[in-house]
Amino acid sequence: MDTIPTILVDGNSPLLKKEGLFHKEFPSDLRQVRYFALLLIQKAPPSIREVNLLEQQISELLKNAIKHGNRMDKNKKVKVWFTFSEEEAHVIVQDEGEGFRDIEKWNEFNRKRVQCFLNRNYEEMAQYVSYRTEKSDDTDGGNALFAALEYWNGGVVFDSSCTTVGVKKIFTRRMGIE
Amino acid sequence: MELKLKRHEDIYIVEVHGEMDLHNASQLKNLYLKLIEKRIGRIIVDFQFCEYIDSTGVGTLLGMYSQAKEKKLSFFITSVKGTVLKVLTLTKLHEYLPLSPTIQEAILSIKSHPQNKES
Repeated sequence: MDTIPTILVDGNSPLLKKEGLFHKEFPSDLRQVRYFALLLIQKAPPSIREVNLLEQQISELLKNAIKHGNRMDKNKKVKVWFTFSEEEAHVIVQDEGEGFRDIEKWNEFNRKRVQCFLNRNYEEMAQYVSYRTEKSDDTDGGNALFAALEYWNGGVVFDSSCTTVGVKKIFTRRMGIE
Repeated sequence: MELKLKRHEDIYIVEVHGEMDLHNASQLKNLYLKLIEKRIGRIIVDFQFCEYIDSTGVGTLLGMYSQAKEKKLSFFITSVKGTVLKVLTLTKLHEYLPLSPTIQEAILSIKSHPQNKES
């Protein structure tokens, strides 16, 4: 049984439904990514868990959209739809690029990576710690989507053009007596 | 991000202060490369004062570790906590990278492997 999560492509996924979500647009400015993410999480309830990690993960999505989607083109925008509650975080990020075409290849790469991890084969894992393409540069860690797929436990789904990604995080409830 | 270089006998300790991301991760890499150039063979990167890392920073640590393996250096990353540890755990690199809970333990591990001494 394959229990390793994968990035999906499904234009009809509820994760890509924008109705009822907040909306913001940002310029393709990599320097401001963390500021943009902070603007978004201002809408999160103060009691939300691990808000710094949520900000980190949203920053990575915005970075991907600006850098790999819009290729830093200042004329292109990143559009974000989002909503946060104590139970979940739902974010949709759309860029104006050519789309992430490597999803199948990436899923296969990730499957091998997780398999190495599960087998504690760290020597072989060295080949799979960073996903790189001919367009990767020095500042591309090649690991952001690995973390995303773990963090966004409600799914990571692209639309059919692969320019829009919807993600959902379901927060586990705090244990103990209130 | 600010880097502070300290020394314990022949072990060099680089303290990472603040937030490590795509705008500054190359500073750590450059300092590391300088140490290697000077034939420093025992290096610890200490994260006790670092609160944030992004995927570029994680990539930098991976690059440093692979270089350490290639050149057979003694290399440890210590005191990773909070959001930084969570990010490494999400990427499943917390077991891959040479993490050590404290500087003291990293120093002990390095000293117990004299074969890794600089040549």
